[in-house]
Amino acid sequence: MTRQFKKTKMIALASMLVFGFGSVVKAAPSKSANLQAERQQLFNKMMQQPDNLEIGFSYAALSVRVGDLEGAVSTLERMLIFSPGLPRLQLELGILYYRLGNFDTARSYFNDAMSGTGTPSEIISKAQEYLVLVEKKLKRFVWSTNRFVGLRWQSNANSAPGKSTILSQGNPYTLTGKSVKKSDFSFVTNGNAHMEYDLHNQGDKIELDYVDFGTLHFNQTRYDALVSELTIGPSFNLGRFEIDKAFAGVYGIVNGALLDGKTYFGTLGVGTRLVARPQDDLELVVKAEYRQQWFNNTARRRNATDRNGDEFRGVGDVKYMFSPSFAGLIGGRVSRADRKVSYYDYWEYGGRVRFDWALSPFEMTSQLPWVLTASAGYLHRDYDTPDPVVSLTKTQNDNEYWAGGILKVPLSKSWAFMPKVEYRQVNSNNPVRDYNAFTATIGVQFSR
Amino acid sequence: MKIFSSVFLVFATVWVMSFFAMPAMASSNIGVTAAVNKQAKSTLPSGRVRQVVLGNKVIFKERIDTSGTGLVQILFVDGSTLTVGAKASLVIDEYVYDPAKGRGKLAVSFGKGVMRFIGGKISKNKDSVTVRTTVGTVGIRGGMANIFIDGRKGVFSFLYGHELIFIGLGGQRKRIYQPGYTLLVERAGGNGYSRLLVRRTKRGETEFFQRKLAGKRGQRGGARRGPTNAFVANGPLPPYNSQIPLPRIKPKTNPSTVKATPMPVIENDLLDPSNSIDPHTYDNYFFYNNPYP
Repeated sequence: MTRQFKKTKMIALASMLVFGFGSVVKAAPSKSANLQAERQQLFNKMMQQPDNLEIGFSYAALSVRVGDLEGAVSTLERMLIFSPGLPRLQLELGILYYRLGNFDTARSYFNDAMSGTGTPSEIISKAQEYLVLVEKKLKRFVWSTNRFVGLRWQSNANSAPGKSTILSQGNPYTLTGKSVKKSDFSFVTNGNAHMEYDLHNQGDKIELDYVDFGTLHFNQTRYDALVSELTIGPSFNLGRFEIDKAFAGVYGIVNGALLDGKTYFGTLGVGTRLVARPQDDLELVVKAEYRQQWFNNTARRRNATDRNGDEFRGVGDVKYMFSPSFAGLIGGRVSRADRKVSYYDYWEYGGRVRFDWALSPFEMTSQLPWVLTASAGYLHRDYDTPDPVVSLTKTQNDNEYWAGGILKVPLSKSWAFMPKVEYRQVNSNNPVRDYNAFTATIGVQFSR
Repeated sequence: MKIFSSVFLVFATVWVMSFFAMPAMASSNIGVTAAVNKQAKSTLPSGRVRQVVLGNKVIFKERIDTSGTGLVQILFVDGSTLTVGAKASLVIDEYVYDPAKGRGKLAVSFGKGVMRFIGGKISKNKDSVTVRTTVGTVGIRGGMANIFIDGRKGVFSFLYGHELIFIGLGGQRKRIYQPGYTLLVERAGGNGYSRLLVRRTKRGETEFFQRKLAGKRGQRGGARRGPTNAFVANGPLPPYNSQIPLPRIKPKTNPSTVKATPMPVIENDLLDPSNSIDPHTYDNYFFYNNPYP
């Protein structure tokens, strides 16, 4: 009854998120249509009076609001012909070109804005601020990194069932204390780094991406883990095949994990990832990866090598920007794992939704935005053959649900305070895989 | 009577045809000169020469020539603009626009000088904007481009959009699909080329175009008054542009395509389910009464 109730709750939550996603998609165009109509009226007036400044600037502002930055650029460049060398116009134009991603022209406008005699100081400081970023964007080698460190509390640090008595092959067994749900605190760290080298061949690059996760428990030290993954490979602009705004990467994967202070597994793999932006506010991502994984037997995990094998993973995501401060993502995935022993072989498939809001809670226009991320997902796993320890006839299947939230509160340009919460429910016909867990984490993230 | 019927038929045909020819008719009012620095003159299809002033209706087949200090911006009815600098020569060969569908065609001949094209509605479609030059023809889709033509040399910088396609006089083809790149063209004898090179736009090239397409101090583009710093700062644009906090401005850049497992999910994606309690991989005190030998 309780499980059914929890399942219903999770389905209701997922439905709300999906239908909420749909409602916002429907609501967005009507507002945009009104702005477009107003903009067309202004355009007609502008054709009659091209030197009317009020009409021109109103048209430029509306153009920016509907996402037609080119329309704003052409209007402002006309205004610049009316007032040659006007720093404030050059600043606005520089920002528009920056937003379009044309950093060469943006740099030229920012430099012009600063070089004029009698340029107001706020224009100079704003242009300088942008110039720093423009110079970074124009570099051939660029990199970025994030590092989170924090304290985490888990209601179920060992991902174990809550009850000490379980049924295995129809017989009741009593789990040892170590194998029953245990709460614990732990220190956690989670980081990534991304590097790109521009090959100066119309958008082709060499890219490297690194990610890691580490945890040190206060009591459940057997779950102390460190896992890291590195991917590296070239990425290509598919414009060469007349596929607009689409990019494909081909990469090698290497990862490894330590568990309880011992080597747990290592992985080698290959992958490909395709990113397409059919329109400015829509991004489609398709990923396919193949991984070969080797486990290591230890005193506590004596048969870990039974999991040696390979895994294929396919992922597809659709990301939509409802507004500059609100984005939604919906995605699906499928995995196939083939291991040394068949009761570890499984098919896994599922989906997720995620929303990101950039917030200004105190209406301070100069402040860095807070970012609230809410996500929920579902995974289903079907194992190939019965695990003889659990059942001689029934194969294991798991239904896993989760929902969580992260709030990013910037403390400075580089540091942010980040509380996180997550609830995870795994319903499985394997009693030792049937559990739930609530996790709360607080910490800070450094970004550069 | 027979003659009368024939004349009627001819008139009726012309009258009906005139409806089909609406887009061409529309070409008599295809845009306006939205900014004009003297001196610029135009030659109408009739051969009449007129001084170009702000607000002139631009006419199909009209030829515009600018002097050493001239600068003209043409605003087309679809929102496209063409800005031509000094000592330039431009003819509007073709302009068709259907506002209901947002489709049309713009073809210009650009003989010499510097120009910037910023696409409006029609440029979003393939093969809709072409610029004929002395070194070849370029098609611009969904975007913005700078063009410089000087006799047998041409420079085509792609600023923003989907693509810039160059078709040489002998059918040679070059394509830029990444903004920030420039095509350098140099004609050799006949329809051959001694140079057809696509490479990243150099800083000097950007500054050259900026300089050539900017007005000079003292000029006003034909406007009665120009904006001031205060006028711009207090206007409707800055709240949607310069007043947006910089961290919220996300420039349109190419996405990263090589990615490791995402940071927030690495623990569950890479460790789970293999990290969970497993009677096969854990020590033998998983159960009090160990169910396997």
